[in-house]
Amino acid sequence: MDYSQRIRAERLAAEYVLGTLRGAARRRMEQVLPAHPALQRALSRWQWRLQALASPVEPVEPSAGVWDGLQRRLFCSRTVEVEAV
Amino acid sequence: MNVSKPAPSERSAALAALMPLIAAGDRAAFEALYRCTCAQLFGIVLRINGERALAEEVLQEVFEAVWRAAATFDPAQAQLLTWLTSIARNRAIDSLRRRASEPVTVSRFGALGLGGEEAGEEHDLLAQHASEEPGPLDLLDRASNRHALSRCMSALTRDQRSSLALAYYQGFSHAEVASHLCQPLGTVKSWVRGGLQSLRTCLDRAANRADFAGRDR
Repeated sequence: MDYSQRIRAERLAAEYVLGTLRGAARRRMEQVLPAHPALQRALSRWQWRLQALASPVEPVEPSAGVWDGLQRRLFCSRTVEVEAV
Repeated sequence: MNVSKPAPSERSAALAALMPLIAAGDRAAFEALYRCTCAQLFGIVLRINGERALAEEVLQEVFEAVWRAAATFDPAQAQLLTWLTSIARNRAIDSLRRRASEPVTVSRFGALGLGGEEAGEEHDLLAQHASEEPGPLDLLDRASNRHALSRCMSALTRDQRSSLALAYYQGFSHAEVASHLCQPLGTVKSWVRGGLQSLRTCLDRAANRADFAGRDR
């Protein structure tokens, strides 16, 4: 990767993690990511750099229905089986 | 120290031990991870997408992704909480797609202090928060106080800090930040870009110094 590409990868990764990379550009980034290890590395470094920003966000308990819905979503065939018995 | 491989905290390490189990289909391990992290992740999602019902849907998507992608989690690449936070933020930002078509001045952003005030007061408005929920700059202060971010954040201009806080905590796009701060889009883009660049240089320098001190001990 040449210098200008590296700068570009850095910028894209930073804005992706910050959240300002949006719409088509954000989806394109997600599509090309698996084939670009350097971009992946830039991304995980930015995730590490900005992770501290997340810590002061107050935890909020989701309602109990979220876990129930999640189980239905993931394991719904099992649920149907149990109900059928 | 390679900056992408920080020493994992104890909590993160204990949770990370669940991941191979989850990857193997262990539902009890999955539930344990959910119980330990759902409130934290829900808080993150809810700040970005404030509509509770939608945010709960997003949270389900987050954990669905965690269940399906558990095998791809690599503890050598990232701490678990960083990995989970990234998934939560990504899903929350994706859930905002439809917000892009809405004007930024609608009432849901009222809590950030939008009103008929003069443009010169924007920063103060950003700092004061009408509701009990802390504003983006309050959160930024708390984040800054606890970490090496403190010195690095204080090296940024006030405009850079405001722009980064609105983007990170509220999930604002460049255009939304620009509209909120009553500034041209290009100006806001350069604040964001400049702020990120300074942060990068400063945080990496701090990480290298910490690594050096660690080796000295």
